[in-house]
Amino acid sequence: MKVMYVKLSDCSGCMISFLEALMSNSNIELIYCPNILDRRDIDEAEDADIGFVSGSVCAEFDEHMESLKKMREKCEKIVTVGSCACVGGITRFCRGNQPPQPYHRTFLPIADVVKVDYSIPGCPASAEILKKFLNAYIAGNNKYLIPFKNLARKKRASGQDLQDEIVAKGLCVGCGMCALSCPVEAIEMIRGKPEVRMDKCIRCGTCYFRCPRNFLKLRKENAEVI
Amino acid sequence: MEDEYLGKYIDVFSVKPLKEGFGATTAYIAYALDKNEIDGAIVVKADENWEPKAIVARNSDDLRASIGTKWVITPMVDAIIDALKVERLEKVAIIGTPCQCRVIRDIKEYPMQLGDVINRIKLVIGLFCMGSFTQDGFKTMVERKFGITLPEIKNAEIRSDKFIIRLINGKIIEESLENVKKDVKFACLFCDDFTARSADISFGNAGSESGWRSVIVRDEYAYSLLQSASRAGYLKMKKLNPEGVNEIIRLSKEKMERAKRNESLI
Ligand code: SF4
Ligand code: SF4
Ligand code: SF4
Repeated sequence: MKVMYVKLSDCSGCMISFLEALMSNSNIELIYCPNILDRRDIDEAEDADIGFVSGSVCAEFDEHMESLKKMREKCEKIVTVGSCACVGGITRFCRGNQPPQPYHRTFLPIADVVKVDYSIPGCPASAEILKKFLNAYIAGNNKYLIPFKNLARKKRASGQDLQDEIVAKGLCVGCGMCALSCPVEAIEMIRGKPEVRMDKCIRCGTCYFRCPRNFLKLRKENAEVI
Repeated sequence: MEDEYLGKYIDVFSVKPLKEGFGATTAYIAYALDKNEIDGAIVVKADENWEPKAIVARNSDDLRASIGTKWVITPMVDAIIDALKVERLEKVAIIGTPCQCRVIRDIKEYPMQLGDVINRIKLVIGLFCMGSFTQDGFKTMVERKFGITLPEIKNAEIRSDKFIIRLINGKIIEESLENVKKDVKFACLFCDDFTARSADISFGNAGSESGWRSVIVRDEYAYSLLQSASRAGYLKMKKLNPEGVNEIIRLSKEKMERAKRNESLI
């Protein structure tokens, strides 16, 4: 399977997970990845079966916008890796005016710019889930891929969504897995219910996707995602 | 075998604990701990105020504290992290309601967090569940409906269509299940899993006579443990009779219908 990997505005955590997953799978040929391969010009790259992108995309950074659009043309499927690419994540807080690129101000989740086929959230996306995704994709296990496909239609998710869509609607069973998922410990279980401290939340969405009440829905083909 | 109402299963039994002071589920876990089949079990204990807390039981003495149903769901976050990341146990059992078993299965299938260590959970033990209470909901119910306080309770269980609370002073309070069902938490009204279909083995009262517990075995390893526990004298087991199985199916069906009915509420 021919694979492209493009890293846009992210912290490199997702790329490290991806490389770990890549090394465990012998069926993959990485044909384009400017961070680690010599060939840097995307125009010269051949078409790929699947393209992975991590990081959100900066609207003022022409080079990134261009390579994202070209990547879409060259790849049969596009997968967003990690919360920044899927839902914006911490880059939702970027306001620009910072050296060395003070004119970079607007950071968008990938699905705002090109069509995304699958989303693998996480901050960072874990190597384990990437391994499982790659195996299922290669094996054509479409049932396993359903949640990733549904998530591709979701452009924002945060602790607030968990609070509004699950807890406030009375759907929370109190399992605590949201608190376990949060990379910044913004969620505390108080008397069996999650309390999200929004001032700590980095908007990675992991809690919301992990919540069993939401995941139950995500497992269904064409689930409604809000 | 696969059944719409029982889930995937190998066989259904009725078991009676033979270990002094243990219930069927805890006797089963005690065997696994005693024989080092597992090196820790994540269970829930309640303190004298019925404040539930998940703990990691390392031996059968630790387990004693967890005997009896707690009726409220307890987040197991700290205990899971203790067992897998702090104590770095290699073989862990976890016991919980169907929804708690489901989420463990979800994490194993879609490991967004915890990494590989989640695979050290070797045994997922489910409990039959028609609904549970929130911590505050349970407190309010016993205070308002029964006029007692939580510290007065010794234990509580469901027997056929009655919710039975035994108090420390020996008094017994019986309430019709229908009445109690009104107090279960809202989230449970949408849940269609009575028998913990994603567990490796499920335990529950439904279908068995008093003193016995029904067991649905779904996984070969869980099955072999049950057989060895029975050979070692921790519990007695027999095949559950068809009436018993039908009773489980009836309740499972009832729960599924309730979930279907309530679908439109959200
Ligand atoms: S609460 Fe935590 S897990 Fe949830 S979106 Fe915020 S940072 Fe992510
Ligand atoms: S993961 Fe969902 S169901 Fe579990 S405690 Fe958090 S909000 Fe409640
Ligand atoms: S009824 Fe379902 S959601 Fe409620 S506690 Fe039981 S298993 Fe969990």
